[in-house]
Order: sequence, then C-alpha cells, then structure tokens
Amino acid sequence: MSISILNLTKKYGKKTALNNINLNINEGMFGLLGPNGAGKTTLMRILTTLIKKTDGIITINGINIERKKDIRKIIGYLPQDFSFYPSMNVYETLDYLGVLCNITPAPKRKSLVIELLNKVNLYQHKKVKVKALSGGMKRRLGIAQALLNNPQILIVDEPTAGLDPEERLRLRNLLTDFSNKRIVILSTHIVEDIESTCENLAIIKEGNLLFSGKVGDLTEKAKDSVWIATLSIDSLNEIKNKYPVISTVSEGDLLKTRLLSHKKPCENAVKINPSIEDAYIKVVKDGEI
Amino acid sequence: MFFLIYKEIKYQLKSIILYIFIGVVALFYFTQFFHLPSNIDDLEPTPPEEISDNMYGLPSYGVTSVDDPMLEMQIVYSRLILTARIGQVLKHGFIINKQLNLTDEQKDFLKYSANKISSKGIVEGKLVPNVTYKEYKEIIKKVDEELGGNTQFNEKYISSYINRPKTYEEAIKSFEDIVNKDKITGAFGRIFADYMGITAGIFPIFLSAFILTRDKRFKAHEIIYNRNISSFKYILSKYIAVNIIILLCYLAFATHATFIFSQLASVSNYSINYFSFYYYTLTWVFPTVLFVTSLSFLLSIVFNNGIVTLPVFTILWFISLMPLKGEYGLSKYVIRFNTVGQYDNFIMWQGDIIFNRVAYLVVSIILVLLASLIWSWKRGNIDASPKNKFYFSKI
Repeated sequence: MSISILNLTKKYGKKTALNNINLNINEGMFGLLGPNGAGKTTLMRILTTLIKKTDGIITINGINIERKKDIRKIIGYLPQDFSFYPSMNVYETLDYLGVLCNITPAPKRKSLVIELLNKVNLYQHKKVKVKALSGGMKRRLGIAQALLNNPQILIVDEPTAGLDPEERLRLRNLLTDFSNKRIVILSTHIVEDIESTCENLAIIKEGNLLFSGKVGDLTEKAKDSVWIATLSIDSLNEIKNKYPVISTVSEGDLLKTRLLSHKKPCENAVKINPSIEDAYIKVVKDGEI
Repeated sequence: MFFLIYKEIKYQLKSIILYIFIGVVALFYFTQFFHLPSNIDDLEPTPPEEISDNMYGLPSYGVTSVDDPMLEMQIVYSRLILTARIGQVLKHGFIINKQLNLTDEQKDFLKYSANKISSKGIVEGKLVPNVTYKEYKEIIKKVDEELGGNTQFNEKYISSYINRPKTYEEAIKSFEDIVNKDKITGAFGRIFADYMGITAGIFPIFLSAFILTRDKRFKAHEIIYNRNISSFKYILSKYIAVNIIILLCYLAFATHATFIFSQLASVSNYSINYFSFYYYTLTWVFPTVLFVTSLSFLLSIVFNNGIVTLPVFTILWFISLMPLKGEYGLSKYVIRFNTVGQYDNFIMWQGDIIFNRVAYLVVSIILVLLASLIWSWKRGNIDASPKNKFYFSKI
C-alpha cells in the first residue's frame, strides 16, 4: 500500500500552488504540516480527485490518479470545511453517503452506520439534525462519513479542530487504529497531533516540499539549534531582531524565551532537545534544510 | 438509485418551495380551469326559438374559427376599416398587450390597404375582392409592419381575431362531439392541460434549479463528489425524484377534476372517459415539466447558480404562451389549446402536437445526459469556475 507522487505541480494561472513535489507515502499515519496557503489542501484535493494536477504523476496503490472511478473506491476524505444538508439528521447523513458509496444491501449499510456512530461517539445523537450539531460533533460526523467505504487511504484535513481534549484523544486513537494496514494522511496545524500519531511527515511551504521523512529525522534536523534563555523585555526585543523566537513564558518581570539559533544566542542561553514543534518552526523559518 | 430517489422526494416534501408551487398550481386550477357547468346538460345549446326572449334578441352559440379564405378576407377587410376609424390597434407586448394610437399616416395606410383588397367593398353581404388570397396575405403582412409589428394583424395572432358566430346546428355538433367523441372529459382534459401547461412551463424551476447547487451551498459537495457513485446515477436519481413530485402534484389535480366530472356526468347519465385528465397530464403537461427540469438542471450545473434559469425561462415562457392555439412548432415548449371541445380541430393538429411532445421528451433526455457529463467533469474540477477565468482557461 503506497502513494507515489512524482514531480507534482499545480498552477493557478501564473501562481504555482504546488511546485515539483516528490513524495512517497507508505502504510501508517502520515502527517502533512505547513502554514496557511502552503498548498496542503490543494495536495489533498488532487489526491481525492477533486481537482486536476497541472503536471506530474501520482499513483495510489499502483492506480494512476487519472483513473478517478477506481481511486474514489479506495479513498475516504474529510475536508476542512465539512458540512451536509442541514435538515438531515446524523443517521440519515451517513445512510445517504453510504448509498453514494454503493454500500448495499440496506441492512449491511445500517449496521455499518451504527458501528461508525458508536466509534465516533455519536450514536446517542443519531437523530440530531446536522444544523443542530456542535462544531465537535460535526467533525466526528465528518470522520464517520470518511470511514464509510472502509477506505484504504484516509485523508483528513484538520480533524481535531473544535474538539475537546477527550474527544481529540479519542479521535487520534481512532485514526491510529484505522491506520493499521492503511494510509492515513493527516493535515493539521496542531503539531501535537502529528507528534502523538504520525511516524512520517512532510512539511510544505508556499507549494514547496521542505521536509519529508520520519518524525525523529525532523527533530534531528533541529538538534543544537534550540535554546532557552531568561530575558528582560529589552533583551527580548534585541534577540527578536537576530533570532527566530519560538515561544515566551512570563516569569515575574522576566520572560523565559525559547528560540532558534545555530550558535549560543546570549550569555544565559541553554541548549535543549528540540521538540517536533521546534523542528517544524525551524524548517519553515529556514525555508529549506 | 431507488434510495436516492426516495431520499430526494423526502427532502423535497420538507421544502416550503414545494408547497408554494402546489399553491400556485392550485390557484391556476381553480381560477382558470375550474369554471365548470353545474350540469352537463347546461352545455347543450338552447334552440333559437326557445330563447326569443333573449335580451339582445339574438341567440349566441359562441364563435368558431373561419376556414373559408373569402370569409377571412371579408372579416379582415372590415377590421382594417374599423381600426382606421377607431384609430387604435392592439399590439402584443412581451409581457402585456397595449392599445396603440395610430398616426394619420397609419390610418391612411389601413384605408389604402383595405381599398387594395377591395375597392367595391362588401356588396350584398359579400366582399368583392380585387386580389387573390396570396396577395391579400402580403398586404396584411405589410400592414403589420407599417403599424410596428406584433399587432393584431400579425400572422401569429390574426387567426384568433378571425371568428364568426356559430350556427345552432354547429353548436349542437360541438356539443355532440364533446359528449360522444371526447366523452366530456377529453374536451375538458385539453383545457386542463392548457392551463396546467402554463404553470408547468416555469414554476418547476423553483424546485429543480436549486437541487444541484444545494450541495455546494451546504458545503457538502467535496464529500459527495469523491464518492464512487456514477455521475449519471446521481443526476438521474435527482431528476426522477423532482419529476415524480411535480407529476404527482398535477395528477392530484387531474384526480380532482375526474372526480368532479364523474359526479356531473352521473347526474345526467352521461358516460365519461375516466382517464382523459391523466392522459393529457402525462402526454401534454409532463413533457413540458421534463424539459423545464432538465434544462434547469443543465443551466444550474453550467453556471453553478440556480437563479440563472429564471431569466432564461421567463423569456422562453413568454415566447411559448401565444397564440392560444394552433401553433405547435418546436419553438413552443408550452403548447396551447385554450378552448373547450373543438375535437375536429384538435385531431387536425394532433400530429404536430405529438411530434412536439415527443421532440421535447427526447430533448429532455439529451439535456439530462449532458447535465450528467458536465457534472462529472465538474466533480473532478471543483476549482474551475467562471469567476476564476484565468484559471479556468488553464485547465
């Protein structure tokens, strides 16, 4: 089971949304990180046959992306802006989308829908109309509909947005369980989601692939580059002009500052082991490694 | 597919638009069609001797169209003179008709044209023409042009003004045709189809034009488009569903009409055809519905907007509504036969009507297929939009 992306380019007129992307995605959870406008959604829409690529070759399990009918059979997709007909209830929505996946007969579809509703903790809300769902419930419904056709490839865009910590954990576990012998591509702004679920990831910025590899390799890239220092406000302003600051935490009149630098940035700076978030910021700031 | 049809019907049944649609059709049905006799015998003409007390002194059996070219020329000749004398002419507008005041030059042209048709006028009740029927047609064409076109003298409208009073014998024959040939409901079925056809020509767009744009409006399009259902199945199921709903609505009114006529007929022991209203609904009104829904599907897919269908159908509708009967070319998707009875006339036009209806049925199927193809393309190109022209041209 694999996705092979070779020299993928997507252009909107003169603007290049994806520039010569080369990526191999294998079984398991795969994280897609990048700032807004990086091209993540464009990449996912191409993989889900919703838009056409300008150039390049994509194969999913050996099937060329141009064979849309075959691709649609093996993918599940949760878009970032997921919604459905407001007057339909949760059960009807899944039942309807199940029909669009050609899941027959009806009893089989019914038991599948109930199973998924239980999985995403929505069974007790099965009669609630879509328009009455909270943001978190809507995301859970979105996950359930993406799993309807038991896809070999599941592509999810910001799945944990709007969920409370308990639901977020439940969803991460659900996606991790589901990724067994399958590919789950998780696009998110929340680095923690990737850290706790994905073994491999890619970072995209302005349509360019900045990093692709294992999470461990990413943190390795930021080794010896992350420092922590306790600074006054004046010193912080001075440091900010020289080094990218990752975070600041107030400690009395001083600020505990986490920053990126190839050398020791100031007297009291201490080198620390980078987190995945530190490494992500370093990759994005550097532009390339 | 049946599930999708069922789901769409269920969805439509929850829509307020459907009930507004039914209300509008009901309004047409009760205000336009539902002027029925209290008894079938009331339709039978009264002999002239029994109505000598008529306040006008003359029995009226209605009017009938004129088939005799000489008589037609005579009536139009008189109308030319009358119009010149009154100084006003009826002009058919796009939405409403207007009485236009004539200039002195136009009045003179009418008199000149009348004189060209006949310099001696009507002698002993008959016109003495100077011209052949073909020449007369040319003269009338020029009259219409001189008056600015689309007047009552226009070829399209003139037939509805050329009538003569029916004789008692003709009125009796008309009544017998209604009873024997049309089995009563046939005659009324046609006028039912005429009025229902007017509603079918435009109002179904409010149900059909927004079905496919709804997916995008509710942000459901991305998860629908990447399902493995075939585009044809998806579009066809929605198409069938909306047409079932609309057809059921018209059939309900047909059932009501049949019930009323069965009661009227039973009072006077007449037999009726119980299927006439259904027959005309299916063969006359339904092709119009199929065409309206299929074209609105296509337009809404092409433009990603259901509103676009409204101006398009407003134009087509007005073009199709006139004349009230006798024109069944392919430019008419709403066909008119705005009269009760006239079985022989109907039979004369039946071939044209059948051709028209079958043609619109075929066109509807083609439009649905085309809509499926475009939808299929669009589901794989969701970023292609007329708003994004520079991008659209690149793919």
